[in-house]
Amino acid sequence: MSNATRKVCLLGDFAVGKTSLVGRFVRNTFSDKYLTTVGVKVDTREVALPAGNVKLVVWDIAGRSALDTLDKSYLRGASGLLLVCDGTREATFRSALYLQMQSKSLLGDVPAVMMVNKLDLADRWEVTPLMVNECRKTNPVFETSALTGDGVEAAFAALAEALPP
Amino acid sequence: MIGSMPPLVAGYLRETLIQAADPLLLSFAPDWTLTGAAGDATRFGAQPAQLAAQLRDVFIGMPVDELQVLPYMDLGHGRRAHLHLLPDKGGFHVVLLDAEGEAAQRQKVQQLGNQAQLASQEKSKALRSLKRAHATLEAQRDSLEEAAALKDALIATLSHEFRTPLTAIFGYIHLLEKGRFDEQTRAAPLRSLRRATTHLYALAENLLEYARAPQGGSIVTPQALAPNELVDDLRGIFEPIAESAGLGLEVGVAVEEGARFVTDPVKLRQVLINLVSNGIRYTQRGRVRVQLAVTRHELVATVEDTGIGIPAEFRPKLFKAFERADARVRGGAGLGLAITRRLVDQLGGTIAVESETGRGTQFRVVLPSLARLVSAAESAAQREAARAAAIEAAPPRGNGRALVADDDPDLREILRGLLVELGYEVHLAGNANDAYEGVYAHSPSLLVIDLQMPGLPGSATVFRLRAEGYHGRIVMLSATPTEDAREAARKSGADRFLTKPIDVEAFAAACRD
Ligand SMILES: Nc1nc2c(ncn2[C@@H]2O[C@H](COP(=O)(O)OP(=O)(O)OP(=O)(O)O)[C@@H](O)[C@H]2O)c(=O)[nH]1
Ligand SMILES: [Mg+2]
Repeated sequence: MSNATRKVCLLGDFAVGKTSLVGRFVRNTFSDKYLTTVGVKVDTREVALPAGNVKLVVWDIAGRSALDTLDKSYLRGASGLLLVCDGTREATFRSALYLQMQSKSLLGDVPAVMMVNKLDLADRWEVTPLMVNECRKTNPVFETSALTGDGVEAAFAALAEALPP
Repeated sequence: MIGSMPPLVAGYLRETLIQAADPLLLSFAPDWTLTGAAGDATRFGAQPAQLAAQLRDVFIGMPVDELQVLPYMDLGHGRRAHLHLLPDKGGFHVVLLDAEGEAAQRQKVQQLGNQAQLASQEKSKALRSLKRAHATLEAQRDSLEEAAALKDALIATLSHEFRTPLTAIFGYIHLLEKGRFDEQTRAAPLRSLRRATTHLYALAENLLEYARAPQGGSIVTPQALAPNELVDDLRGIFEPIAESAGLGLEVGVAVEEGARFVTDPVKLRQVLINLVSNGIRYTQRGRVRVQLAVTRHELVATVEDTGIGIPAEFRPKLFKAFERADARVRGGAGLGLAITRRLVDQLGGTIAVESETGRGTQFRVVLPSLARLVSAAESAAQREAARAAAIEAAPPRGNGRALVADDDPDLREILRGLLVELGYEVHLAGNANDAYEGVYAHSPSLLVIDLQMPGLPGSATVFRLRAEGYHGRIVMLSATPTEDAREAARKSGADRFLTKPIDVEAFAAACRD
């Protein structure tokens, strides 16, 4: 039985793998076909934590490099953020951090976790270890792959754990 | 405008529009108890009660006493909807308007836009990597061209160098056949013959060495030098030539008392032969002077002529890698000098030139004594001992623990063997994740990891470790020798990148320094 329900939002540039990460996390599936998200897709999954279960309501928001007013209305009520970028595209790393910054006017300092996605393509990454290291000073960072599943569970769990009770 | 609409029209419009929108209305008490439903819920993939529960999750964290509009919501089971939450006395309503058609339309546009952007990013990336590949190929072509040119140059020089002594040999044989010499006078021409054949022998030796090591890795055979013999040889070879050209030849030597100077005499001879024959070739009148100064540590040879000189603009290029321009300007000279330079390099020395157009040229060669090499190369057993000592003197880096990650069990074992020989305690992993765990379990100071493995690539592990502050040495192995692969390895944080098949010495060096 869940004793808490929390809304978390995925923020990130387009095609970084937000929908794919949710697919892996909620249904344990992956498709290599790209189907862009319009608006928002909402999914839920229960996460078992030492302190009890949390039901995460996961908002997979259409990818953008900057928030517009529409996205802001989607963010209301979020307890945490999953910032997603694509390791093979350096610009998406900056977009993710920019989106987090923009979200602050609405949400304040909610817990956030950075997912540097597409780890299976690490030999083509533009994001560097140094950038990740630097980013760790402000957010936990997980290198993830929606394709292999690596890091996905850990990233969601880390955010769930960081959410205020 | 709307305000001025007759009530009848307004009522009519309201009716038609509502009918067209076909909304689903769900009404709630403040605690999210469903109090009423109107319209078709199945379009959105659920019965009103299920939808109500889902909506409660959707609106979590949002106030229900304010108007909320959430466009284009995909609730997972049915058509997409625009959600409107309207507060009302004693509760609130949620209206779902079908947005599937609009959403599909938007999706098409967005998909095209995003894919166009991705494609253009991919394109510029591909262009960058093409440019890199192109640059690599050009560099390879240049070095191949250079190697080919050097080979041509070598052959050109050698054919010239072969002809000179052959001329002497034929000449003396002719004179001997004619009976021009008796018991007493025979000694000098025979000495000349011996020298000429010795020179040919030396050239043949060098030629074979070059053939064995086209990239300049020619073998140096250090021996004690007999400076007076060398000087005699030079006189023997060049005096007749200088004489027939009407030039003076001065060859002098100064040897420090008791000095034993070690070098490769064959190579040194060829250096001097090249320089002197150049001097003679480019001097119309005057003389060529050779001076050797030998100490126990150093040999300085100067070859000075009173010839045409070398124009200043060609001097910087003279000893650089072979340049065709030189050949045009100085005939064979540029070719001979390229090889001379290589020989001097192999002997660990330096060569410099001073020249004044119309007045003459001076080449100055400085060689160190290779006495230390002689003792090291004395016997294979000694070499082996020296190698063992070197390994001992340079123990494995860091804490002496190494982790090898490769999916190929054979290669894993080979690498383990090599590392054990280098003094490491070795742990093994068969994939990227095990390698990552292994580094935390054993904290090795050296990680040797294959790039291509099933599952995550080796670079994923390297990246994660580096991003987490791992400071050990990382050597990445790959079967793809491309510049892109090397660049990727470097970017992910590997210190060294080696391509398969593994060269044992390069591997040992990569693990070490
Ligand atoms: N190799 C690899 N491909 C991935 C991974 N995650 C996502 N993809 C691919 O990347 C593309 C985009 O993935 P999506 O999940 O649709 O990206 P998104 O962030 O939801 O994109 P938008 O909805 O447009 O914002 C798809 O082709 C996925 O198959 C991954 O971890 N590895
Ligand atoms: Mg998506």
